[in-house]
Amino acid sequence: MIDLKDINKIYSSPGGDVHALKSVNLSIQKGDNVIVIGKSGSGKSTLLNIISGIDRPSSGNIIVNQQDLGDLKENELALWRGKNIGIVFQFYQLLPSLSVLDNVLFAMKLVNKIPRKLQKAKAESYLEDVGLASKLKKFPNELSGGEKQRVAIARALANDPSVLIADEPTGNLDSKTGEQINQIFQLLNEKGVTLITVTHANIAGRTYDQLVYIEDGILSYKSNPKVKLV
Amino acid sequence: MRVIISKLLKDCWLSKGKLLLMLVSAALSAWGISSMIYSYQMAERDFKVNFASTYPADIEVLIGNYQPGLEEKLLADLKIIDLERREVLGARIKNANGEWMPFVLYGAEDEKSVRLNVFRILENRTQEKGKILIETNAQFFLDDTKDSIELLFPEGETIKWMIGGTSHDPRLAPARMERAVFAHSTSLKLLAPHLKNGQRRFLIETNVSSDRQLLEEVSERIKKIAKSEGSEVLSLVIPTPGEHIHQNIVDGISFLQKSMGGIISLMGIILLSLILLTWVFPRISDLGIMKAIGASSIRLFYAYLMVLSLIILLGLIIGLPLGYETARAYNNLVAFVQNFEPVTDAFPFWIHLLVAFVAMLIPLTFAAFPLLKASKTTVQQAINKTFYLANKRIFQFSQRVFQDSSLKYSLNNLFRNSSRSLLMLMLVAVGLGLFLTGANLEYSVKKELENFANSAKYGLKVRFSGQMKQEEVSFIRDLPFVESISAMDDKTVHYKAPNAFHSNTRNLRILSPQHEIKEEFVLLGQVDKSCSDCLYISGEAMRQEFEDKQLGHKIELTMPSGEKNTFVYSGIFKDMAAIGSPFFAYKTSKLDSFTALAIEIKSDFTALEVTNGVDDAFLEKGIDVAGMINVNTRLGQLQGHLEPTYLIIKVMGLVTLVLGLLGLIIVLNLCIQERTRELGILKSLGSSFGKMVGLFRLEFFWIGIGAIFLSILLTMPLNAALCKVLGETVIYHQIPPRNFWSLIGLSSVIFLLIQYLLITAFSWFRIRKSANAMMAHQF
Ligand SMILES: Nc1ncnc2c1ncn2[C@@H]1O[C@H](COP(=O)(O)OP(=O)(O)OP(=O)(O)O)[C@@H](O)[C@H]1O
Ligand SMILES: [Mg+2]
Repeated sequence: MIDLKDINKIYSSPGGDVHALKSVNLSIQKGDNVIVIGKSGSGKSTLLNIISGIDRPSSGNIIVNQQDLGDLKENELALWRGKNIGIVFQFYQLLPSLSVLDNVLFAMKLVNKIPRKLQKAKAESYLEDVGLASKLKKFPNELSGGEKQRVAIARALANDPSVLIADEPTGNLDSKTGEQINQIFQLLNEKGVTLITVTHANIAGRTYDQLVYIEDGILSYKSNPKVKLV
Repeated sequence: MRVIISKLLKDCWLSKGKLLLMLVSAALSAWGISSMIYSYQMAERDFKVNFASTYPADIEVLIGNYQPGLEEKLLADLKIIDLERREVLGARIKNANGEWMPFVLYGAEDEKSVRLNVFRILENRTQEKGKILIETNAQFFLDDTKDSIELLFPEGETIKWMIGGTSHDPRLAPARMERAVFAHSTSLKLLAPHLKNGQRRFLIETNVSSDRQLLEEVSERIKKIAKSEGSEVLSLVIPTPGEHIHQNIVDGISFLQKSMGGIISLMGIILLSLILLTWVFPRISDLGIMKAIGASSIRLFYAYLMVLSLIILLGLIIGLPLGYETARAYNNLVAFVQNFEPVTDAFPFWIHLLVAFVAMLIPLTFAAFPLLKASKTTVQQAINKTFYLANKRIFQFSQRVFQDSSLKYSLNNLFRNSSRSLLMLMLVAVGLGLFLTGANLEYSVKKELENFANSAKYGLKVRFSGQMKQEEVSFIRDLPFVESISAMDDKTVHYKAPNAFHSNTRNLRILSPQHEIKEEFVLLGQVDKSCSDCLYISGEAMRQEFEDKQLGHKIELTMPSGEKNTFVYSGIFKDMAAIGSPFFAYKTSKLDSFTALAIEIKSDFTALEVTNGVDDAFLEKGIDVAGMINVNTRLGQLQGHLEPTYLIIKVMGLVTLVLGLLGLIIVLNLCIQERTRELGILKSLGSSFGKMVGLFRLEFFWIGIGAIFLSILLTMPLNAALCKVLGETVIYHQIPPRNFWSLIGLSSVIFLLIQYLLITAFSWFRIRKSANAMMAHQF
């Protein structure tokens, strides 16, 4: 379902070029739970940006759901992303001038994939799923970090994406709250959502289909033991 | 898209202060732009309705030794389509204050036969056929309780005429500007005893109205026809086609009006862009986030553009009526100068539509740039909040040059958002620059006129109605306050300027051998009194005509007699008191017959004091004086013409400056908001409020210094341009642009002081207010 073929990403800057991804090949199946790990600066975020179409590779092809992202123009790419990919960031990135419910609705209305009549009910049910049914009218600055992140997840799910991408979604939360968030992700994955998560946290005790290890832009280690690490 | 627009509108509503300021600046730009377009439309319409509908004659001719039948002969010419007799009579009249004023009467043959130079009868007081109508704008001078006027004719006879009503002729100069009483008469019966025997004046209409060259040819034929009929052409005038006599003043006013409109709209546009930036930038990370969840750059850009259009549209609602009213006010001024009655009818709808379209398009185009830039924000930039990084080169520069860390901090901050800093700099610089320009312009003109008045040799000039002889005026020499006199003979001559297509009419002033021109008033060449064919030019218009001609160039002048004389271009004189910038030439022998007298006044008298004395002396001898000018009054008049100009420019500058300071506060507010986190860090590192305020002050101090520097750079060419325009249109002489350095210095210091106080007060207040928020901020 997601195919990366010989992806290279080079950032050129006055201080010299940075080769952030080097000939990366990766194949992810529908419904996979993929965990990406690696040292700081190794290229994890770059990889996610390329999969979600936020950034373009310097060379190589990327195909998501039979769609070659290289064929899409900037504007088409944005719409495609809105319909197919849900993104959760480390620092939540909610829109501060919109309420909790409106943040989710906004994402729906932007692409109108969900029929308009159903949008509100659906947004409310997503927020209910993440335990925020009582905070629909609140604004982001009135929420705790964990609550904000749950709004962000509800927003990422707004358009029923086939892929959910999360860059250190628990990196900014205490371990208990982080655990709650991970459970939400786990549940979603069990419902069939393809999940790609970057994490710094200890991955012991978590199930996954693929573990991707990146070092200096080289995808150096893959494993898919669908087992619980001890 | 609708969802993005409604979010933006919500954001707008959340920062009502900025929304209001955006509306104000949108209104400002609409005001400026619409006032320019409206006033252009009004001026065109007024001209059509007032001037064009008087059916101005193409040629005005005075015939001597008139023989019956001449009219038919003239009308037989294929190019002449109409001809009408219209006499002009000059006399003096006592105004309501008992002072003598010039009186000019235009006499038509019959009320019904007026076809050319049409005047309107506004009020009819009698049923009599032949009556005297006073030009409505000249009534101001007359005692309105009297129903008659008393006139003094050049020959010395006085006469009393009943006032038959009022009239209006937009072709005339306004009476109050000209300080003359104009009148019309609907019959020649009353005038007949005062007309010169055998002379007749005709207005001629041709079918080649707009072609000066062809009009010249027709004029030549008129002279021939007159000659063949045994008459002669005493004078012939071709008024510049389609131009009011005050066209030059109108041009000057409309230049000012245009620049004022332009500057107001520029200010509005800059302010709009500035506030837009301060509105968009705090939300720029929103843009990146919206992109991450499916919004594209183009959609974001269009959404912003729609919201902006809405704001500008609202601005139009305020700005357009303002622009209309401003244009009206300007137009009333222009109409006054032209003796027009401004048309007050509403414009057709399409004109308002056109104005609205242009007033919408221009600010939208300008403001689109920051929006385009903002909408290009990438998701990564939004997530890392890296859209305002210090400019790398500036950063390196300040790193190298400055040791002091607060200097570095302030300079780097300034270039974090360089387009914002630049806009602010421009706004303040334009305001300061305009103010300084007004001051410099006033200074330049004042200095130039003062210099002239102080060194002019002849303080008083007298114009006679006819030719005079030396012995007739020699008594003037004996007046106690007269040092010397010098006769001057003015002749109307035709000539063709070197590169001109058409010939032109000017006065040639022949000076007597003893007439002195001070060396500093000889701008080019040398005075050679022994040379009778040396010709000197004066005034800006002629200087430009001869721009690329070397001294020694031959100039051919056609004398009133029709004889052609060749002169040698020998230099340029400066004579600001001479009306209409004449040619000058010296007569090598004594000037026997002349039309004007220059009087040098003894140094313990002023020209003003002796003017009446001279007038009385002439009156006593029964000599008719057509006009008298003393240098001070003349220069005072010129200065008076320009007074409103300085004022307008200075007020415009001050208004811009206030707006600039307002912009400064907006940006300062935004900076503090943006850097709450940084300020928190500074606070936690032990910085006091005073120190933090100091950092902001330093940052804005750079802008202040930059603005002063820029405004001085701006004022120089602007002052030079205005000096040039006003020199050409109002003073008729070049005004060298000068800088009023002491005022520039003082204004700069005052400006910096105000800025200092404003920033200290505001940032102190603002930082204290956000202190709690600062501490609560997580970092
Ligand atoms: N916009 C950019 N311009 C230049 N270099 C960049 C840019 N973005 C990332 N890099 C570089 O590319 C490399 C990979 O960065 P990336 O953000 O993918 O790392 P990461 O694995 O996500 O690190 P972390 O765990 O700290 O988030 C780094 O060396 C980084 O410095
Ligand atoms: Mg990262």
